[in-house]
Amino acid sequence: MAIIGIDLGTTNSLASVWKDGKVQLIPNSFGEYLTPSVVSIEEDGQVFVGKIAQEMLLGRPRQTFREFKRNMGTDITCQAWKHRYRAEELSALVLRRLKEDAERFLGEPVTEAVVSVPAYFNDDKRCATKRAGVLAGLTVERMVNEPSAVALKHHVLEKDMERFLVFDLGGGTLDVSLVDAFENIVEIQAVAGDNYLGGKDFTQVIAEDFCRENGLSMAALTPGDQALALRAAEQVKLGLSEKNFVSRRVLLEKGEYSLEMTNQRLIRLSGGLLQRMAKPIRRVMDDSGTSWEEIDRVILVGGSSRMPVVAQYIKSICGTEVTVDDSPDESIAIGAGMAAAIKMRTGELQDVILSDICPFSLGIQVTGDRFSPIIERNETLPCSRTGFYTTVNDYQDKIHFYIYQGESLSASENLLLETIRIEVLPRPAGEVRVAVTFMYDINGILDVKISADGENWHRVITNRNMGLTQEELEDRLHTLREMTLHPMEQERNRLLVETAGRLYRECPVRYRGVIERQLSRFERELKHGNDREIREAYVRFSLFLSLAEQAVNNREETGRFDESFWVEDDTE
Amino acid sequence: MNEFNVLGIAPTDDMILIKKAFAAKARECHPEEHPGEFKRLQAAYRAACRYAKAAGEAGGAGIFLEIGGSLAETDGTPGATISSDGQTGTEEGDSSGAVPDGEEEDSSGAVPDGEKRALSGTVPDGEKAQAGSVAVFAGERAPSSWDFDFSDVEKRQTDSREEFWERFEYLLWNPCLRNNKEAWRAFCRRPEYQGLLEEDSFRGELAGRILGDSYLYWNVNTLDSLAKMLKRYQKNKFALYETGTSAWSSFRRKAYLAGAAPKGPLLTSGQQKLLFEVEGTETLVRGQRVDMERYLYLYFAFAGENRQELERLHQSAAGRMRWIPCLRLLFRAGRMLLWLCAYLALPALLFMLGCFLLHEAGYLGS
Repeated sequence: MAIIGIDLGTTNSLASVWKDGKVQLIPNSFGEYLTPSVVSIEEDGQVFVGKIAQEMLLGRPRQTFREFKRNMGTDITCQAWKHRYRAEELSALVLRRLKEDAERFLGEPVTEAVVSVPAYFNDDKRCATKRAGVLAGLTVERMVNEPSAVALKHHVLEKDMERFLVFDLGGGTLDVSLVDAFENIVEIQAVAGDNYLGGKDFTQVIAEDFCRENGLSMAALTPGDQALALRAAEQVKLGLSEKNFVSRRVLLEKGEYSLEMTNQRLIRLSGGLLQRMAKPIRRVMDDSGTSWEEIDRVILVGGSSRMPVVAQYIKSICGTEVTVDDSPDESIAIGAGMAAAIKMRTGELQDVILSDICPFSLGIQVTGDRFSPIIERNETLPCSRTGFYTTVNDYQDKIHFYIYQGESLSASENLLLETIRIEVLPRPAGEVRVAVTFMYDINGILDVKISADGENWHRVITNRNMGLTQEELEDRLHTLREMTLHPMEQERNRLLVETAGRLYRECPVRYRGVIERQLSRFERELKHGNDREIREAYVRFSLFLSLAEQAVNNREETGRFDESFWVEDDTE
Repeated sequence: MNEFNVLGIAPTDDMILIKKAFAAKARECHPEEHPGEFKRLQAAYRAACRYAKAAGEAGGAGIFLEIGGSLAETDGTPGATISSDGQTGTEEGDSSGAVPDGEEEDSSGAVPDGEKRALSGTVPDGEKAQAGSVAVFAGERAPSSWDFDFSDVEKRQTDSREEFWERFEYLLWNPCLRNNKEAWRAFCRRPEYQGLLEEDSFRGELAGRILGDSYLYWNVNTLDSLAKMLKRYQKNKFALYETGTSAWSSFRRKAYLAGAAPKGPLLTSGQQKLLFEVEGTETLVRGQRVDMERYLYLYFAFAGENRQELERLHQSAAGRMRWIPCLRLLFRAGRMLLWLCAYLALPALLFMLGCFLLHEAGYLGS
């Protein structure tokens, strides 16, 4: 039974597996490796995941959701029709789609996966990821940190002895890791990051600048307009990776506006974001006590690290050799696949050891709302530490242990994991001696042993359900199972329909009739034609749509609408 | 050394040898199959690394520097100890201490043991920071066809001066926040203003602006805490121009007499409501610095965009409040006068009594 590796990203998700002596990426039903992390839920419960849902973003903003990875582990819900969905349920739908793709690729059922998470994800978010796996029908026993996965991939493929820094700037999160790799060991030495900084923030900055320049206010736009503005900003951001000056015409409901951007201007607007990017780097270097001379190179990974603004800024800070990963979107998935192979104990990877660390401190609360850490951050996993504590009041017969995860000196500012109550014999304060042992293992399971007066209490903290009872979890599971994923065979046709819908909204009003006519023709042929006619209709319609898309893009860049693209086939 | 025995090599300060030995041994006990053994091996590797680093830097003598910022080393068995300093132990012991619980029987709580840090591996933070790290941001930009100018990003540091004054004004004319010690504390503790506050001239200007305002609206406690804060940044303890000058003292005296705005709770209910609405959080605890920072963050953003609105609000509030301090001034002055009279009255009475007695006794003239 194969274990697959999954990269559950903010913008895109991928799956990979160790097969035939190497890690292979699993293609989806379109033959692509990247599946956008976008989910669209219809009224009858049918769910679209991936490229189709991405096309539905503009037309149906109220039932389509994207970039929900940031909300994992929180109570934030989105509403579609009569039901509210949490981020982990939406992630579960994406995972289910990936699971089906994997089963089709391997020809056998898949029940277990290793999922990648940002290194800086706290316990809430990690538990939410595990729950998403459960809701999708996958056991997620182990999670691998995203920069560790990248480090693994680089070291296994290149086999040098080196110390490098991994800078992973994804759609929504930033992770920085310091890695020491030699022979078959990949050792993570320090980790830092920002859970709320990513490419999405740069898009937001561009969109807000667009609004400011044109005298609009982002909050005052309708949701459809906001989606259009953000989409234009994103395309501008992607365009800046190739050209230094990008301009687009944005067609909103209010009217037509222009959006212009250069890389230098983007630097000025996003100064704050760039400064925030430098902080985790500084922290990682300080935590591990290394100097820049000891670092052999810096690897930039993650879709957003392709932005020249980001790459240059990191270069200007680091001074060491900076390499942009050759496949920034796929590295994490390949690394996750390798971690899965190591767990499976097969193949050439069985010797490789990935030694990861605990990104947050774990401890308990002591008097005066102070946090007393027992396991400090950047401690290598698996680790076990003991702290000794005593009572504060005379003849106290109970002690409450509040277990927290975090860095703040004030305990209540950290994340509460669990509360354990024990009883002790009443004695004068200071005479009771309690030993608290924390064991944190590579699967993220915290094992707590408390011993006092010769008695022992043992609690294993794993998979906290965060207030959800078992019944509620079953209930959610049931609801999700009822929602059917769109069957893969009809996906191609549906994709064309949705793309047509999007282009209809984007192109000038005069030409909308053309699209509508072609669309209804296509739908007619789907209903009544035989297989061969459907295939022909598919080819014709997809050609038409690609021409239309080109015309729309051209118009957005040049402001002119080139009618020569607009070829209508009148043969009926 | 025990760690080198585990690794199977002679004690050395060559990192490459140590790493190779560790990798070779690790092949035999992979953590998936032999977790306990691997942990011991890894601990030995760490100890060997520390030895090598120390031997390399301090010529083999006993100063051990931390690698990786980890606390006291253990060999993996649960018997190891870590505990906080003796100092915190005694402090906690003095306080009434219980973590409030709502149960009637016994309060609960725990306190770290008063033991010192166990092993020799630790070094106070100040030294550790210097030991390993070198200027992090050294290095020239790599040449490329796209050469961007990042001075804008660095320049944001110096722009904070104007930002400081603007926000200072907002705090100053807001009647609810002007006398809120927590607000000033949260404002001045911001990392971007630390550099500014360390400049003597800047602090002088700040003191000047505070003094330039009307004493009627200041509370003495706020002035005292501001003075203390300014003093904290003073490097030359003998310079009195900021906090010890007569101008400051007289201002303070006048403010005391005026007895301006009452202290009040740290976050008014209106401020709490604002935080609730915008952040949607249920866990506000009154008086915590975290809440004030969050509130200030929102308030400044709001103030920046709605200057006129805020000015109008504050003018009307100020108008209403203007007669209160004047009245209070009168009351205080009257009270002081009475007290003065009482203080002088007794000797005066005694004197008159003395004169009368003497007169009666005939010692004084008729």
